[in-house]
Amino acid sequence: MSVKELINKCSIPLIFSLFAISYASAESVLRVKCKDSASDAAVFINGKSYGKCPADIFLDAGEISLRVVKTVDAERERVFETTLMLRDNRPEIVNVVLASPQLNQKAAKVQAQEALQKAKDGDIAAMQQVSDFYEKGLGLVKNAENAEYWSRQAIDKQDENAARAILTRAEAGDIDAMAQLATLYEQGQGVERSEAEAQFWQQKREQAIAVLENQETSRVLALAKKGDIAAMQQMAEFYREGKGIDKSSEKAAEWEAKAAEEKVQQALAKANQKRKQEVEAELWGYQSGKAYLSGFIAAGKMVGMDAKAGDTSAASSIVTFSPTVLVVTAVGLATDLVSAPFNATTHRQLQNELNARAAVWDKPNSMVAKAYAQQ
Amino acid sequence: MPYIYVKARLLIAFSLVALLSAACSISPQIAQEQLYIILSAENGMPIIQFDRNLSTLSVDRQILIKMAAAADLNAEQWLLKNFDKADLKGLSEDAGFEKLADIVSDNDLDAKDVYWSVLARYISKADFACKEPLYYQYFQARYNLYEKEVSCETAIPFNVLSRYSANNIVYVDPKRLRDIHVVFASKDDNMMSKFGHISLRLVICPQENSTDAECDANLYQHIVLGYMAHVDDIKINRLKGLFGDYKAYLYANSFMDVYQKYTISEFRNISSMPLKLSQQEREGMLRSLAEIHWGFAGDYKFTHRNCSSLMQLALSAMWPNFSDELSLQTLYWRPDSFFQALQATAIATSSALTDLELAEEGGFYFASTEAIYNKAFDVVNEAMQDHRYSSLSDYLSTNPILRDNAVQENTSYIARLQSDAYLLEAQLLLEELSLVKFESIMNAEMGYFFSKYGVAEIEAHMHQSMSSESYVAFSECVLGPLRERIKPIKRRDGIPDSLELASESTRKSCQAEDKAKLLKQVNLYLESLDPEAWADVKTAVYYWAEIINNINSYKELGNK
Repeated sequence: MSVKELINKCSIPLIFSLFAISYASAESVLRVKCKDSASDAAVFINGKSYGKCPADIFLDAGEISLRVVKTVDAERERVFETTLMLRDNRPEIVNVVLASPQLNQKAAKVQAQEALQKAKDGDIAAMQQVSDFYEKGLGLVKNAENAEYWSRQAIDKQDENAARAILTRAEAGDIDAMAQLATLYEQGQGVERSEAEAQFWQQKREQAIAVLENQETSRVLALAKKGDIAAMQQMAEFYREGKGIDKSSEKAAEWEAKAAEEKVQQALAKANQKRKQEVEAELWGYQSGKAYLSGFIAAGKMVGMDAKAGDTSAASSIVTFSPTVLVVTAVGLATDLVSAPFNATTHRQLQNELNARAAVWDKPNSMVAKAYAQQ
Repeated sequence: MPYIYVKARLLIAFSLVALLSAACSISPQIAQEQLYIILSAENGMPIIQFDRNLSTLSVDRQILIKMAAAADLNAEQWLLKNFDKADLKGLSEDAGFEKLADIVSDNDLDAKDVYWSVLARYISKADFACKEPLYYQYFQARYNLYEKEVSCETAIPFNVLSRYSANNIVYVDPKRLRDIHVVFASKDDNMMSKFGHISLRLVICPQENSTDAECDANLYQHIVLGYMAHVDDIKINRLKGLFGDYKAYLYANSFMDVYQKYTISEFRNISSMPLKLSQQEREGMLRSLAEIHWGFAGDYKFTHRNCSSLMQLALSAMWPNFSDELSLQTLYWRPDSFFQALQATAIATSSALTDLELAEEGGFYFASTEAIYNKAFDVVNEAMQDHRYSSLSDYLSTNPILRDNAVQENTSYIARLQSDAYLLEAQLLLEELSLVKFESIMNAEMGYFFSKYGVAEIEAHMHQSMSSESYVAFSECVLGPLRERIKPIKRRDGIPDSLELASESTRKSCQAEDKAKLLKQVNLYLESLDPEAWADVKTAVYYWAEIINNINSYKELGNK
């Protein structure tokens, strides 16, 4: 039977005996218990080796530092560390639970030196690593101040880099970057604190926004002029807010009205298009369409009132006839055929324009053009 | 005709003395050499006497009115009733009157009947001088009944033909009449190569005190008076026109309608030559033209009773300077010859037409618009880039819906229309020309459909098929205007006054929405009569409406 088996089998009487001995000798006894994964781990108390876990160790009362280490590989080990107070004649039990594998001191030292070098060269990740090494005393002598220093260095360096990137974007015209840069200068984050710089970038941002708004306004205006309803509404908004343009509630209202009007017009145009298609479909059935019209013109009957009656040119050249069928008769019927109410006043206006257009267009000095201007 | 004059002629043929003494104690005073009693009352008191030496008629109006009142008649009616008892002793109608009646009154009436009737009005009507100035002039020259000039109602009515209604009365203020032109519409570009058409233009000013330039530019109110054959059917029968079976009237048209018809619709030129008239002559001619306009009706004959010869006769009757002109003594049956002869006289300002460019600026020449529309076509076709149409007629003969589709699909062309006013106008010109052409087609199609079946048959079909409400709408809105246009035009004794015309105004509006609904049924029933023939009407109407749509849609582009 091994010691271990013996301890396990006779633990109660044994502990009792140890306690009794301990009490008798005015020493403390510390039982270090390890689970399977921690068995055979090396036990150090106050830096002195006490064999392997599990172990019962007699110690003088007082504060001790227990370290249980189990080697994983050449560079890594799993460690359990704790401090505890041992009292006279009073046994203590510590259940060891090893932490995750970490660098052993030797490897940590190498890495820490490498990281330190990199950190000194400005490597942010290395700075953070060095800070960690200092904080944990891993590879380096534990030092909270140094840990803080390198952590601070890493953050500052990060800020500096970020500020540089933002500056690049700001210089390239990025409005958001300009705003960020102004804030950085205000707070001295990543850059040297400077009210003047902060103000400079703030102004630059406002100027850039104005330019952009102008460009946007121009773009939207162009679209609005082409009949884009959303752009018209946008223009109204621009005028209301004075965005890229002088504020004007009248003009905002004008654009709103235009948008509403355009909406109606587009709806009408859509309806018109639909109606056209219907008309086309219906006319297709009549087998008339273009063939009909071509036939009409080919027969030279566009001019005559007696289009289908034949003609005697001698008579037509000497006899002037009064109009036969009233236009309004045909138009009256047209009213329903095309579902577009006939308005005599509108039609008269159309005729007046029609009569003068050729003269106004090509012969502005002619009497017909003058008459149109005068009427 | 309400007057009974045949008897009078017969009585003159027999013995007037015996008849008058036996019938009503009206005794001819043959013995008296100077004063000759034409008509006397029962008590022997003379009512109408004629002074042979002075060639003057005298009327005792008090007795005339008393006699008329006793018979429960007005003076005119009493005279008409008693003229058969009168002894005119050679004072009846003469060749001069017949010549005048031929150009002023309804030619279907006998000149002698007309004479008695007009004489009764001359004697009895206080406003005769104003209403029948040409007859007044004739009777006054012969009988000199009136010593003082009568002041006339200022505005002179004309029934100006309208595209939209049969009755469109326009009142012309003589003080606003600045000029009267003779208007000649050529048959084609070569003004003298064809016969053309002749008429008169009333150059009406916007206001009495307007400048000459303002008056000349007031074309939209100018009126053209010309003789035309009245088509008394749905459709023109050219042969009837040729052989004089249509009536001729002196029609009034708006100048701009005439302008459209000749220069746009038919691509003809119009020359407009001012007549050298004093203000008094102008006013006199205006009233005389109105008298003819309301009273004349004559057969339209191919050779000697057409627009040219009738105008020549009218001018001769109205204007001494014209009748005195030797070169115009011959009747010209060709309008171009007449216009040419007139140009050579001193009574017209032919110099207005020497330089056609200046004439066009001055309102004396209105060139055919064909060149302008061709130019507009070139501008449009070039801008559309794909040279879609081979010619203007190719453009016009293309379905207006397809034309518009081509425009709408061509976004760069649309953008150009929006920004290029010159191009937009060119585009509008083409669509408007198409509209003008299509109105003729639409009318022709309607005319063809109605004449194919005849108005009576269509009416019977509709009466049988439609509800009574729909039939009323059909009758008022379709047949009504047709009948109004084709029925013989009411002839009157001189110029009507405004009250008379107002009381006759019974025009009904067919634009109301409820009528529109009923007209929809009309469409259906007409279609049911002959779907194939009606399809042509529908097609023409559809396309006509589409052209208007195109015009409106392009105008909208210009507004954006």
